[in-house]
Amino acid sequence: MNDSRLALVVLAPLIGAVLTYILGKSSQKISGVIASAAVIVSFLCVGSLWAELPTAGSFGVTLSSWLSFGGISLPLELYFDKLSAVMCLVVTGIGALIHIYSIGYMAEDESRPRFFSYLNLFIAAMLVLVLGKSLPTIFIGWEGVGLCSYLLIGFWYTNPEFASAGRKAFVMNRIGDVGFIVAMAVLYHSCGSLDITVLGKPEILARIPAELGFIAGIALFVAATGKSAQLPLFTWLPDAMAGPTPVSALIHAATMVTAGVYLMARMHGVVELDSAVPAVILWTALATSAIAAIIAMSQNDIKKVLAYSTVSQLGFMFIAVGVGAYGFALFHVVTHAFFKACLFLSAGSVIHGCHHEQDMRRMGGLAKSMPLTCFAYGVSTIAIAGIPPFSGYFSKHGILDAIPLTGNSYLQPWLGVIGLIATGITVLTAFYMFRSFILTFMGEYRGHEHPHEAPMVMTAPVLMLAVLAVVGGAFLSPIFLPYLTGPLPKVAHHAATHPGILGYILGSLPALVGIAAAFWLFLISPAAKEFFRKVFLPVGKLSEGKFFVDEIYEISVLTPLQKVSNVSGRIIDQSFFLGGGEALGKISRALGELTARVTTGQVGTYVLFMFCAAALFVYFFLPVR
Amino acid sequence: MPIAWPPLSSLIIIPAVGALGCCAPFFSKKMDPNGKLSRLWSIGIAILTLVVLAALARGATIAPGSVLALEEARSWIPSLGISYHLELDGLSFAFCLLTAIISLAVIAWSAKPQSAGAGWYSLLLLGEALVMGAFLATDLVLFYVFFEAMLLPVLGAMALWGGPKRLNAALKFLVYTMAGSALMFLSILYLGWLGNSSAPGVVDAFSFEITNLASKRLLNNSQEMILGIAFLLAFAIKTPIVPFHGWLPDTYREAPHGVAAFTAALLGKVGIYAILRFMWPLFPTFMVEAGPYIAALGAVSVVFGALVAMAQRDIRSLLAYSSISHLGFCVLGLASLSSMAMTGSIFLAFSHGIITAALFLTFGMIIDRQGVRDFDSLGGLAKVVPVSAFFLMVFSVAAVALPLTSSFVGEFLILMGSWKAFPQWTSLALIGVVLGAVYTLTAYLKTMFGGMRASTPALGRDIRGCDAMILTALAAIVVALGVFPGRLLDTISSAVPMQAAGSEVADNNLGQGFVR
Repeated sequence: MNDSRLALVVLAPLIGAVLTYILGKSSQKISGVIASAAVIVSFLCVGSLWAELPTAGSFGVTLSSWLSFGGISLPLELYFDKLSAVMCLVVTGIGALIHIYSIGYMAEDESRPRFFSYLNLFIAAMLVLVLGKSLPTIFIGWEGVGLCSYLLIGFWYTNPEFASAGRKAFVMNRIGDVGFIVAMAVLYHSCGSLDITVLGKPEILARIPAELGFIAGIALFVAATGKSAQLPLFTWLPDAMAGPTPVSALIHAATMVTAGVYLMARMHGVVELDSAVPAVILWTALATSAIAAIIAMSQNDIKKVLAYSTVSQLGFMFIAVGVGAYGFALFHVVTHAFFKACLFLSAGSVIHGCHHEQDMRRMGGLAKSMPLTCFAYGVSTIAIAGIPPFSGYFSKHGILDAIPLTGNSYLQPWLGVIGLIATGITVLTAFYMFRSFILTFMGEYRGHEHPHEAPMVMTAPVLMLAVLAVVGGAFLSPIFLPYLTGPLPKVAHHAATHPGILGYILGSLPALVGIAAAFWLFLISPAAKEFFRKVFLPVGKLSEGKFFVDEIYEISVLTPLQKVSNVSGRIIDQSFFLGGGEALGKISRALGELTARVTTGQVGTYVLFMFCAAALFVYFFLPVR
Repeated sequence: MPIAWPPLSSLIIIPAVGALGCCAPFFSKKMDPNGKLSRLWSIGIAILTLVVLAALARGATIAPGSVLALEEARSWIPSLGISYHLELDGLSFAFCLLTAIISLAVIAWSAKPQSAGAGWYSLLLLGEALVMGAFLATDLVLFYVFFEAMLLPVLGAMALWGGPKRLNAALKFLVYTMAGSALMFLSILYLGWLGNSSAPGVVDAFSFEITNLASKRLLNNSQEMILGIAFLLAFAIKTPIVPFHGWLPDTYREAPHGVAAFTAALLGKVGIYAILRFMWPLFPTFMVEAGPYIAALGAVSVVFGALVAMAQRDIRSLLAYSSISHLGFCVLGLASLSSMAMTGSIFLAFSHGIITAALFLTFGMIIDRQGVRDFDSLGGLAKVVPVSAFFLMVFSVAAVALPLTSSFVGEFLILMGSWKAFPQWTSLALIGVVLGAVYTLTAYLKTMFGGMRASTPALGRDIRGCDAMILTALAAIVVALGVFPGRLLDTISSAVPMQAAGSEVADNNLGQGFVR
């Protein structure tokens, strides 16, 4: 059904972005209000469309004929179905809360209008991403959120390191985007269309030759690794913490980084063309999730802990993708958006309250001075650890339960190993998250400032997210997966989620182990910490060195690229191409000078040459030898 | 459609008359010491040209479903069969429009070399007239005349107002392009001679008319190859394609900013245009058989240009090499036997013209303002010149072909279209997509972001007034074409299949490329 409200969903934040940018400095005070209002309008439109979705089936709107010409039809169209509805509600709902929070967080920054303009632009781009009806339209949003991420990471651009972090994020995303382009090329030439509703049909997908099916699936996953920070392209996300904290909450935790999961779910037909592709996805995700969890254990910057935790949780979502449980992947996207946005915003309040201190070694005991923030951070920590009835438990254990039910023949022999590693990651998650909670809020204050609670405009959105983090999972658990069985493949194990009391207790065991370990090591018995540090020295070194991924890039990619670039520029180009031209010039000049020397104007010389030439002519051309 | 008046010549005559007018006494240094009058005069002329072009195109396509095709033919040197034949179809229109827009922008741009007066405007208008002629001519000899002559105003402006090594650079530019076009001229003569000898007994059968020559199918395969290579060389130097780009860095470094913008935006496009306009109809077999090699040259240009751009410290050298990289995509598309990619190539060429001119002009202003041109002595300018920073961000983003900018439309169509025929070269070119982001963002980062240098002087002001209007207009074009490219795509694609028709390749409706 055609509906112009759908256009308004995207246009409202876009207008907000333009308005706040143009008003600029003159709108210091109201820029945050304008921006928040724009997102709320968008949220309301999404809500009203969502309410009518059961009767309408789906909504669509055409914005421009775009790349259509001749016999080619690639219009700019939006499409609203159950899957995009879920994503839109998360983006605009959580987006609105984070916008409101930002009014308080950025209150002292002179460039607020620019900040809110970028933030609104991001919401618009993200909505295009989840609403796009064709892959090129999705790609508009895909690149658009990358641009906004770049602009917002480098928001405080006078710090060259922040600006470089933005560039790193953009370039790593671009590597993924190349995968997106390859996938589009393959699908377009095999299927003759890039429309997602067409590409969802099995008879259309059957046209893709077997060897290209693998390429298309892997190319899409490469795109997802860039955007969703999976191996080998995850190192930009921790660096992205250079941006203002609301940005980290919105872009680098709740929405943009989950775009890869959305893409996999949306294009699951292509992903599953070759069952080697889900296997690759699963192992990559498992490795990413485990490595990020191990790194998170040794971070001292509160935002870095959360960043690596995000990478790890994204890995968990891709584990679900790998075993074919797309519904649980999206469920985890939603619950993760609740508790991770809450965690980041609470961390933002902590940073704000401690006067821009991010190092947990100079925090501690903040429960007294910031009780509301402590409460929000605490319940979100329990949620992410996976204790029922908090939200994280339902999505996480859905994924763990789904692992043995996969039908992928590449994975079936390894189910035990996969399950074990995934459970191990759950233990680690609970451990490092409680470590950060204990270091920040418990014990004695170790800093030199006077921490204070954040203002209402900040705590209110945080508390709303905290409520969602507590009850969201239990509330959604029975309805979420059945809701998505239309756009997503029906998987039998979706129903198997009522384990009873004993099941809940068993299910929360891994998390309890992690929590107990964190309390023991960081609160009760610091001496044991030293002992474990010695025992696990190699792992600790790896963890503190962040598995040396950046260093490996430095050695294997950046330095060689720099060398190739320098060799191309300084040697090949300068001496060969340009120098070659110069040399030709010199030769011709020398020839010219020679001619000038010979043509002296003396008749005798000319005559001599004439005779020589004639003799040569005769020698070569007369048949007489 | 043949038309009476105003004929297509007016597109050449108006700027040419304007150029002559600049020599009038009331534009002399005495009467017009600041060059304000001559500037106004030239802006008027450039606007008039743009309006006439728009009116011509509008008039020709006002009937629904009509395809843009205007013609103007007069005999010129009948004894040699050389005619004065101009044609405006969708392909020519795209480039004429670009010429008119860029000329107006460069002329109206407030910054010009200090010692330049009316002569500056005169040379720019002359350049506009000659480039316009090259994009309109369909007689090979006439085209050649424009192709050569358009160097003169550029070389003149460079020699008069260029950097310290301007003479060396101008000489190099001249020698390179002459070397290429000399061979092309011989080939043109040979083509004319072949056309004549194939019709014994007919007097005055010489013809250099492109459709005439193409329809005769005079050449066997080896002749096509030899002549095709000669033509290709001329266009490869002009575009330029690696490894024929030796003239480019010096030219772009030494030319005054306006001339660099003019050259980068327009002169190179003649090469792209001519490959489609002349090489496909004349040498269809050669173009199909040499396609993989030409595509490879294009893809190598993309990557090599980007790699060398990454190593540059001088802003204008970086822009020069980035041009090589971007135009490599166009070459890849032109070789790829797909109307989708060919249309994309022309679209990207148009878009690149607008973007590169804007970047040259804006960075030029910053270079003049700061008195330095290498990144390492710049930094933190976003705080000092926020308006320039905004426009540079817009055009940088457009240069890396983000969706909803015009470059994306071109680049996307090229990559989609050429994937079918040359997946390997398309994949190579995709590396350039990543590297393009690296050098473009690095250039922006080093100049605009970071801390401000203590030594950063402030010789001028931020962009404002007329210059801000120009950049706004160019940015509006880039975005408008990125969101609503349909009209221009339709216009271009209406002319593309006719160009490639000689190669007996038919386009199927899915746009999946030509099927032989």
